[in-house]
Amino acid sequence: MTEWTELQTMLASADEETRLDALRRLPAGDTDAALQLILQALGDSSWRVRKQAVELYLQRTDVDQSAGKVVEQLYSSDNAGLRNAAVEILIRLGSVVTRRMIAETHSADHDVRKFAIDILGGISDSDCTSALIDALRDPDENVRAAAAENLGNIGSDAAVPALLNAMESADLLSRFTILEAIGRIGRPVAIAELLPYKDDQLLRKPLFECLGRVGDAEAFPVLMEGIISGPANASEAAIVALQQLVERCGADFDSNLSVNNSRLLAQTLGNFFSHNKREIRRSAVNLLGLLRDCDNAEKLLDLLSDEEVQDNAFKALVALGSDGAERLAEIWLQVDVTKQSYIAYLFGQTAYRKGVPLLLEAISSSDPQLREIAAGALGKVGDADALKSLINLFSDEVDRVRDAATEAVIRLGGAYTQLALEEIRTCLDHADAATRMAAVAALGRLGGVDATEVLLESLKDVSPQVRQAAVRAFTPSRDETTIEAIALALMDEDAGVRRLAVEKLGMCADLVTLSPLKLALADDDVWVRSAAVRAIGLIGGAAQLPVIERLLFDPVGLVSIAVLDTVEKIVPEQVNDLFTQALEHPDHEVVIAAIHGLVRNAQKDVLSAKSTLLSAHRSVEVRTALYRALAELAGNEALSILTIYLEREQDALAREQLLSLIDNLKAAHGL
Amino acid sequence: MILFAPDIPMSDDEFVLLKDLVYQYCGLHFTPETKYLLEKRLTKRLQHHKLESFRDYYYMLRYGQDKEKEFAEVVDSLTTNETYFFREDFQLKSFTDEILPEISERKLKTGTKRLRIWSAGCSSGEEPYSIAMLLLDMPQFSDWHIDIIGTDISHRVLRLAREGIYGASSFRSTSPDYQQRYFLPEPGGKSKVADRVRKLVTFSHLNLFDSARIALLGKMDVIFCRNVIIYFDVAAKKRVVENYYERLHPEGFLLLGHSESLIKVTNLFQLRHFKHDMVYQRPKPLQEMVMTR
Ligand SMILES: C[S@@+](CC[C@H](N)C(=O)[O-])C[C@H]1O[C@@H](n2cnc3c(N)ncnc32)[C@H](O)[C@@H]1O
Repeated sequence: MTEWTELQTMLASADEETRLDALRRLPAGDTDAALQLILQALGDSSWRVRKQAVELYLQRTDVDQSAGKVVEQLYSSDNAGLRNAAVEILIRLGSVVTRRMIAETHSADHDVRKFAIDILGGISDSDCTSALIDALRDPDENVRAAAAENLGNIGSDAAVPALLNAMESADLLSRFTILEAIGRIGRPVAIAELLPYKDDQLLRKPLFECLGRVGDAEAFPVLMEGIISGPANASEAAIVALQQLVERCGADFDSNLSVNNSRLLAQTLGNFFSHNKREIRRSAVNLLGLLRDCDNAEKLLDLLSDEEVQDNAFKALVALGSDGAERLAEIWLQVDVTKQSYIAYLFGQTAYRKGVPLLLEAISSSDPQLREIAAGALGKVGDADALKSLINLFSDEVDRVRDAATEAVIRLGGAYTQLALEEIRTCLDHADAATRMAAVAALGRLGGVDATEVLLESLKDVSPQVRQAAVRAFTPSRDETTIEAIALALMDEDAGVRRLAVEKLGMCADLVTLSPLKLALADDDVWVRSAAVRAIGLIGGAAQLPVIERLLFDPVGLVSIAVLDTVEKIVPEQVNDLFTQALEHPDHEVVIAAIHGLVRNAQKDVLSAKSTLLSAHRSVEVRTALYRALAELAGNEALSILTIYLEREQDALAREQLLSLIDNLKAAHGL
Repeated sequence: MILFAPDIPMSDDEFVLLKDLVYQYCGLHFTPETKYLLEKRLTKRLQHHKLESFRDYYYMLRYGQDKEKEFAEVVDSLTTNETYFFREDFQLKSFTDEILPEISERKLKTGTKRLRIWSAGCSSGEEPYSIAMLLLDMPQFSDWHIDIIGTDISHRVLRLAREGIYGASSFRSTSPDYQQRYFLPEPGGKSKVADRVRKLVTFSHLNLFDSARIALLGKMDVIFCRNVIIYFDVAAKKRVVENYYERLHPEGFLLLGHSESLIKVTNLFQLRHFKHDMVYQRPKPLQEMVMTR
């Protein structure tokens, strides 16, 4: 048997691997015999074989001459795989085949015309656009629709007038597609040309979607009417579209509202609050906020328990301003504490002064959440009178409440500094550490001449929590006393204090802190060591690289990860080497961090080189990270290797991950 | 409860790290579409630790000294613990009218008067206590040795379960008769489960993903796992349900929530049609051989 007939026999084998092997053994060179085999393989029943054949064809140097043969395959109406493979090749050949494909748009076979249109759409150079525009007049409906769709994909502004033009004479399918294409292109159009179609029930939905993307304020009334009068799917589209339009050119929204349609609109929107699509619920709620319809305040309050739209509902409530707050203040006594918390928050956000008495009462509620939120709100709307009550909360049993009170005191302290300082000072000797902690935090943030002194004093507090709060409260500065005091805190017996001190020294950005920080690199506590690595990087920059690098193989991964992060920040050009070394770290967390770093820095080759090693890693997480990284960096090229890994992978989660990566890659490349 | 927008955005990298970690730890499954949930619910933990990024939080979960405790907090904020007494009463009716009689008949033949029931993912305890009350109302079991074991991954709900004090929302489908007979009034309009009910129930902390510890539970006659695995993806469901299979005696029953099924998860179980409900059952040994062949 000659080599060629043997390859041919192999290619006819029932075994996929044998067929793949045939392709692998294909001698290099642009021979006709090879072309013949490749063309045969393009029609294979297995996608792996077809894919391999596509790649082989694309490696030829004579594609200019042989492309005609590939074009011929488009005519094999009985083999969809073959046609798709040919389409893929032609698209990837790009401009080289544009002229040929333009010629094929006049083929007698309407399927081929449609393929030609799709290929031109895929190539999408400037010469394609006019051929696609011409095809909008093709006698075949599917070809016309494909032309509109591809013009949409290419996104060429120049096509818009032609699309609008074609709209007039088009059939329903093409109109549908044209509206979608115009929307996708996204170039603003004079919507008067589109409005005539608003009464066609079947076109309302795509029309509204299109208006949402390309319309202007003129479309407001149409969409408002569309929301009110349905049908349901068109109302949904109109809601989303109106919301998009408002985002783009919201200023005019109000002028289109009369009292009447505003009511009706508000009511209709309310019906969509329980829609199962989040986007629609959200848009409905957002629009309702714009309508400023206080009658809906309670309804919006109810929506706050719907996690998916709660942010939007809250914004809508805030938009109602103090009128809305007033409405809700009226029902305060009838609602449960959860809703009271929401209302309290709203008082704060809308600066609703009249709510202060309710808030003052709420900070002694038995519900910690209500106390927390009421304290926060008082910080925003309260006055000097609220200060004392807030400071009392410094000894609350729940830390979130204490934090909220501290924040509130700091806020109010901005306006009533002297009073606040006096009140806080009384807490510094409090028996309860939590109270002292809050006081220290507040003092630090309020600042002032004697704050530093108090903080220095608090560094000696018996409670490590208070000492931590004190370190945290220092404003980073190059003041010698401060730096000295914080450096002393590096010797604290509490690791939390030491860690914060390290971080603070880093922020002081002063070279004198380098030597104490270097000592911290040998701290017993891993968090202190990692913080030291980062701090040294921050101050010392590239000059400190050797010191930092030494910790790459710290026995605890956390430190090594800090090394990687820091090096990436200060000497990005050196990440390659370091990240590659880190791939061998015994802690899988470090390996994952290194993989992510390589992806961020687009180090495809490094990863590919190490992929065999990593794909056998004992940690599933490392393997999954590798799979994702390959898919992200190598795209289409990763398909075959991921398929191999899939065969080997035992872990269910990792397999699922692989399958979905492979599916996504295939979908993205039309396989 | 969660209040309003997260101040700290979660990057896609951080999302992948955290979602995998959570998935591996307890099977809860987050997709890019539900990323906002993870972001929102964990924000409070970041604030609590005064952290500035989700990456820091991730490393804290990996390297922190109190990582076990922190994981418990994560689970608490991510799981939905809603439950109430006598939830899904048609299923409980099947349980008392059809399942229990069948089990008792089978057991009496072998002369054992022992019944073991597991409420997996029991939340604050309403489910196992409901089961206990139902059993107390069946005189034929009065001389049986009964174990009802309630387990959950969340420490917070287990604390509530052990306390056994409940407010109105737990009683939304409890008949007044039950409330009178098996509860004692508490201040603030609450009610406390009576001691004879409590005596039947044991609570333990258990992650359904922890196969090794699950094996410690011993063999069960009935497993309730209602409204727990709905948040899992197929791979996670499989893992958990196969553990249940191991824990059940042959012919033991697995009761899932009304909207849950094992279609596409496993065919280890047989579906039995009762008058009030359809229920999964571990087949008899002989059938098992046929089914798993
Ligand atoms: C909605 S409750 C269901 C309570 C009760 N079974 C019922 O149907 O009313 C779900 C419970 O499952 C628990 N859970 C979720 N994932 C778990 C896991 N991996 N291991 C153990 N319990 C889990 C949650 O903590 C929560 O308490």
